[in-house]
Amino acid sequence: LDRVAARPGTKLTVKEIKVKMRDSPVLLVEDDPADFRLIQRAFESLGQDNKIIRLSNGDEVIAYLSGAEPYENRVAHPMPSLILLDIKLPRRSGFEVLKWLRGQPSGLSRLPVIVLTSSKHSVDINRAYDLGANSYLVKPDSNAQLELLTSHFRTYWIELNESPSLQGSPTT
Amino acid sequence: MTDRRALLEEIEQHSRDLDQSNAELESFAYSVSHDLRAPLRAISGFADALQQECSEQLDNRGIEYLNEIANATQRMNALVQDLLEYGRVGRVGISLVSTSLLSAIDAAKEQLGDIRGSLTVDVRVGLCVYANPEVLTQVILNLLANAFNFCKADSLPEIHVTSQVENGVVRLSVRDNGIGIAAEHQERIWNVFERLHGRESYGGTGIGLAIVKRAMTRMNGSSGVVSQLGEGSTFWIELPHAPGQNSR
Repeated sequence: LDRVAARPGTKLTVKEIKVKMRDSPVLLVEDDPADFRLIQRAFESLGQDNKIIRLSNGDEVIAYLSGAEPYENRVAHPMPSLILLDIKLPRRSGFEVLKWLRGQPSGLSRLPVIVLTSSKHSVDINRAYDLGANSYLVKPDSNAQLELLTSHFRTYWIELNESPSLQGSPTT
Repeated sequence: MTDRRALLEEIEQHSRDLDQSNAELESFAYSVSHDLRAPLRAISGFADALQQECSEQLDNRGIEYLNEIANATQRMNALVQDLLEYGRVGRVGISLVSTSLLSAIDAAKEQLGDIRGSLTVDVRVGLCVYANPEVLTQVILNLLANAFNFCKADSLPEIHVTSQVENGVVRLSVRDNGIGIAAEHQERIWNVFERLHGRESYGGTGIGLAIVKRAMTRMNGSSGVVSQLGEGSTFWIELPHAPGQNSR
């Protein structure tokens, strides 16, 4: 696989990937407007230049990622580089979204998902990982802690982490 | 035989009822932790944002009000956390293993953070008790926090932690030089939300010692206090002695 990926013209340089990552939006799935505003504020305080797209329920996430109405236009509604997903959501829960995503027959199933929730419940943590979450973060109680979390999040997930391609089919 | 079978069935039914009741409590605690803390996070988050971004537009009174909001949300957060802990120690099946007392004290000290005053620990390395390590750490943390909290206004807290082994039982004592407790109040302090003083005089949620009592009962141990008003207090816990080990 490495040999295929390393063929000239098929592999982006690390620099190009990082530029690409920084250009891709982060999909923040959060139903609580207050939590959303505080998370957005924490990203703003970092000078975060990634666009943050907010969706507030599970059905919207599935419609957005599938490119279903009203999200058909990929220029106006670009694919995210990763999802920050709350668990307790109206309609379809975060768990249902995760299950749907990981069950996709396309490369979409690789999209990194970071759960961001207020639940420290071990049942929720285990279920999230069982369903294929890439990380599990608990919403902090203070703005200072939230700013620290978003700062670490940016360093790891946006600057260091290599993103998968969402094209093609999953390989086993 | 029929009577015996009927009794067994009755016991099994009680056991099923208890499981269901525990599951309901678990779900209640889950809702409390998730739903109650979300608005709290918003209140403290936006009060903090106001302080950071809009303090120039506020006079001293406005800033004072914001501080009150921040203090109240901190208190509420501590209350929710303590109530959850109180529920947890009473509910969750606790496994008891040979646990190093010193390791639990060290873990509690670490969670206690910076302290004002002094803390000396005189406990033998390798001394072990039958306990749940996490719950024992919580118990010791609560006792230490309590000892530092109720200090005299004119002196720094001096806390001594000692241990004693007698007849297969280990007693851990936490002695302070604080305000002490009058004999008539020494039972009440172990109840949930029981406070002997106004919140402005001494901090704390009023749940810490209730957690200690409940946790000690769950670990087949006991707890108590020896104190005189104005003369400091010695809170103690007792647990079965366990064979030593290299690490917990």
